[in-house]
Amino acid sequence: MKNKRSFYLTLNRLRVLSQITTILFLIAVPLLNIVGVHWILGTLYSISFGKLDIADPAIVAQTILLTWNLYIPLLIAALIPILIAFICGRVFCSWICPHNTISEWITAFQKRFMTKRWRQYQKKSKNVGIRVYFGILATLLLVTALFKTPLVSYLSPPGVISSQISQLIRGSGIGLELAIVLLIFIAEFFLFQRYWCKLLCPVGAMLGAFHWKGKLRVQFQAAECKCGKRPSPCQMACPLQLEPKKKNLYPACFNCGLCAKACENTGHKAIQLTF
Amino acid sequence: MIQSLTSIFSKITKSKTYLRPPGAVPEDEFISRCIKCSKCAQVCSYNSIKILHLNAGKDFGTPVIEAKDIPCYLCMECPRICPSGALDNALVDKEKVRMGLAVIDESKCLPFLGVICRSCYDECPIHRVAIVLEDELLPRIDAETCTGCGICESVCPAEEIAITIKPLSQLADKRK
Amino acid sequence: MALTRREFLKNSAASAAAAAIGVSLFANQSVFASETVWHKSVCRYCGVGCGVMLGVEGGKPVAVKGDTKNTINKGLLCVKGFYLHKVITGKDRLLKPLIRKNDKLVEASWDEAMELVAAKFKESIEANGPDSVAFYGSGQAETEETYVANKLFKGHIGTNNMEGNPRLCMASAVGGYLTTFGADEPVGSYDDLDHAEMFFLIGSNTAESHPVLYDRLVARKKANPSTKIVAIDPRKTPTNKIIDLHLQVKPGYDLAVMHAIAKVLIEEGYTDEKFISDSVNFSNGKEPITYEEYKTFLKKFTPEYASEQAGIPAEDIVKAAKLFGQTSRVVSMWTMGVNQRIAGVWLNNLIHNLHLLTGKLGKPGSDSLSLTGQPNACGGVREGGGLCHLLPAHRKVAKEAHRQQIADIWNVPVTNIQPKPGKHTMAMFDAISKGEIKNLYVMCTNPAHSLPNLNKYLQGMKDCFMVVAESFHPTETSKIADVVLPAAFWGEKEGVYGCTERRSQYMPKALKPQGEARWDADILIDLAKRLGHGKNFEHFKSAEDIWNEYLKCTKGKDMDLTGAPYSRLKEVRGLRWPVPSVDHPGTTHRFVEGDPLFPKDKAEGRRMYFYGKPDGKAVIFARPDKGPAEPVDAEYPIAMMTGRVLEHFHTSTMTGQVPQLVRAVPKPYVEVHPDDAKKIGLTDRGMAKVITRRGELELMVKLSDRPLPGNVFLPWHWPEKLSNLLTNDVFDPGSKEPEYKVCACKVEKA
Repeated sequence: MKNKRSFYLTLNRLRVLSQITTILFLIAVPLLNIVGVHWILGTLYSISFGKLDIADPAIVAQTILLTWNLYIPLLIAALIPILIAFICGRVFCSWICPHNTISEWITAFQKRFMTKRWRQYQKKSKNVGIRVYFGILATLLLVTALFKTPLVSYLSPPGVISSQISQLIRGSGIGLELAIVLLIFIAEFFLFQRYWCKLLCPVGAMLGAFHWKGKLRVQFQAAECKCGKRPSPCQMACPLQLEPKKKNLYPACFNCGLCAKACENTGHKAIQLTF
Repeated sequence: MIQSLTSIFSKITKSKTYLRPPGAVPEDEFISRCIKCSKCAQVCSYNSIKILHLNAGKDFGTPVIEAKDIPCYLCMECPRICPSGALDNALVDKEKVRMGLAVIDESKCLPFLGVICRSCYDECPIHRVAIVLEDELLPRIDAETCTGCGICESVCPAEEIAITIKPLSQLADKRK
Repeated sequence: MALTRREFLKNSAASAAAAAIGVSLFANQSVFASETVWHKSVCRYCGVGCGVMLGVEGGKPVAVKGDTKNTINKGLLCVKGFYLHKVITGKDRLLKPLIRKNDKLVEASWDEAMELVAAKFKESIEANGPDSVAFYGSGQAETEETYVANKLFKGHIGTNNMEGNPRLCMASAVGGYLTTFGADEPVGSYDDLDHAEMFFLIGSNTAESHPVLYDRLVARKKANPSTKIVAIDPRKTPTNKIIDLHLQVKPGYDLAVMHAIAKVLIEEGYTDEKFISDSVNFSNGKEPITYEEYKTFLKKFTPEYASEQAGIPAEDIVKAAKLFGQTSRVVSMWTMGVNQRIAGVWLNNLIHNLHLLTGKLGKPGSDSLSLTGQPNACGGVREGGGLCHLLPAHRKVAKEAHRQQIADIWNVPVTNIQPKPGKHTMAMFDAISKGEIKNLYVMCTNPAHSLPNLNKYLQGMKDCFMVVAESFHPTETSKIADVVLPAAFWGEKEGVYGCTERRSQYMPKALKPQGEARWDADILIDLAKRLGHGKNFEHFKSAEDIWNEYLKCTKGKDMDLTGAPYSRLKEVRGLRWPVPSVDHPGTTHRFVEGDPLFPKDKAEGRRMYFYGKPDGKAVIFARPDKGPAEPVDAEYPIAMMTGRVLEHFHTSTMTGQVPQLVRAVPKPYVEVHPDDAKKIGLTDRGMAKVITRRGELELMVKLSDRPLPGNVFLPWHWPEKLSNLLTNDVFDPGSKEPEYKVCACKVEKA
């Protein structure tokens, strides 16, 4: 199957479909709630289907730190995301997170209408060191614990966006917290860099923490790398401005597979998304 | 050092006391436990539960009830769906809810001005128990059984609302 | 300023309230400093007749407080009365006349509006005769206003199509008093409430509909804890709080219970045989019968039979009867639960029966007291003769002598007044639907909201030429009117209200009318002039002139008010007729010594002489047992009851102006018993569809154990959900009062 020429193209189409479905889903849930359907509830902080609860591991970690208490149902609720992250990496970010979806749309806009500057910045792509990456997460959690402040909640764009959709539909309007998300979009628009998802986001970082060699990952085989283009198409395709061909791709990479698709496009298969 | 920093920080971000949904654990723990998922607001058929925006301060994302607009009708749907235990999942009896305590301001309450008015008494869900009428006229709150649902506050026809709910957090020392 | 006022109210009214309920509240007095001028008046709402003080500051109404010197309420008010001043300046006050042009109501000048009304009326009277026009008045209009309308329509236009909404409210009580005692209105007065040892409430939610009287019951019970209160009501109401025995009958099945009580009273020897032989006749409704025949008639009505009929334990009926018999002083009180029934008059008779059998009547603490729903249903419409068969001061159009007396006072030939009664309310609106009546003048009431089975009558009201004189717009009626005339509201006009206990009380004009609003009597006089009848209305320069002419009508009648001119009424807290001279204190009990009309010579030692009857004897009626017109059946299995709540009054045109009252009960709802809700699948505050043979409504459900399973209850206040789309328009053949109180419905999940 991997050898099929259009595999990564199809995979990417499915990914985009999942992103759009997520947004529609987030709109549908509060609408269904209003008409009295209550078996499906929640936002991207936590969502439940009937008795099945699913919670964001970052929020669960925050709750543990704030309460110094292990609430078993909440721990169980974090299991499914952890399991997925353990097997597939941060696919939540690339397949579901509405913040990334919107960021990708912004990038697409830049690529199309501000091509020159975008290329300039994209060429400067660089991987992030694992220590920096988890250092930031650790700092965030430390601050959370020390100041008894739910920092992760503030800094969870998927949570904020999804709960804002719910609040808006329930007639409570939108609030200042949306400004946090807008600020990220604006800053990144002018910086031409996706620092948030790559470095700062506690939600992504927490999922990235379940990082091991055996999970789904982007794998580069130098022997197959024959397109000879500079800058390489895979690097230009990366939404997080990472270098797929170098080491230290993880934990920043969220397995969107766009680099593999770009490689596939050149007729080669130097980059693969595999276990 | 850290302690003094903490206290300064909490002073800056000091929040109002809010009326929380039924089954809410004590305020400090509630703030820590609530994961801001909005489920309790979504399950509320009456739209009683609102989620605080950041505009309201550091407790943003947590659920509150503005009893004077839409009180809690004690349908008991929300406590069981809370994923984090910020609302007591085991709470099912509306009689056992203790969200706060109704307090009457006798300088505003109509019967204390010689006006026959029984709106709070008639609408109280713990009917004839949580609010009783002294001499069939003057409303008195029974602190033991008042759930703090705020229905009384929502219907009070006094010129300025005379019966208001003091949230549990303000009463921590007064009742258990 | 607001604070000072509140402080003041707190100290004056609350101490009065405390006195009323027998507790002491506020010891310290604060000083009241304000420019407020207080005007002694009467509450605008129900028929209790509470004395209120209207506070005016700089020409604006600022507060209402209870009149501590008024013996009815002793300073106490209900929440509606407390906010009366806010109604005066309410958001929906109509300030200019409106005329329908191109199917839209547009502002017009008074002259234009009145010309149009006069032209339309004239045209119709000339083309189709006087009976093609009609007047529909109100138990909330002043006596003076109703009197002018009566004079214009019956005496000058020459039609007896002159009705008022008390037809929908008090007509059965009138029928009961007339048939039993030969004279309308209660024998005793509120004074009896302070002496009674038992209260018997039938179809009366006193706590909500007459809150101040309820408080007097509470006070009585507090002063005398052995006082018993027994209620017959199909619903557990807030009144239940103070009752000792509740006979929760099936809606519409209480006649048998009353007979059973009578039977027990006789069998257990609780009757006053001397009183019966002195002052009582018996009748089966068609002809006189004997006491023995009455006893035979009662044979069927065992407590067991009544228990089966009404669905209540037979022991409870016996218990109630024994209490009635054993207690020396009993006051019965009832309202719409008795009157708004197809057997309304009969049920009234049956209540009087109990008092006549036991002689518990005409002495302090005993009375058969019908409570009135509107502030001037008794004064303006019953006494003023504002119904199609009546003339002022308890006279009848059918009686030649009565017509003559009134024609003389009105200065018209007696032939002007038709001897045949006009169309009663239901027949009137039926004739409007059929196009027989082409012009309708509506004053101070809201029939497009308050008539039963509205679907049947609304189109007719839209089609006819309808003039509505009203203080508020839009109401359901003003919305479909052709001309809407802005009427001055309470406080903006002077006049007299007569309440439940035959008491007439004066209301001053304390304010200038809002906008271009005019006093209703003034509008009617204007219309009279434009119709060419000005001559007999010209001398009405003020309300006092009208009152004085009305007093002439009452002279020598059973309701003699000659001793109650404005000069005296302004000073006192009302007077209870008969009050034949200015030095007479008024009458607390009729038909006994002390009543100025009591004929000692004819009475010959009898304690009571019912001078409305030729032989001075009241009548005990053997009325057959009768259920509701529309019993429940397989298709419509639930009995629907209607009623009121404390915070709203009738069609809420007034209470709807007060945000605080709207807040207290904002939405229409249907009360459903939890057992029924479970069966149907309804949830608290969810929606249900209530369907009758006449219409359907979607309403919010309020789960409540107040109605029994199998019954639902609808308050009727809200224009957005008209309960009267569902109610039954079948009426009592005697009083012509419709059966609002009970019909069959089905309830579904909406």
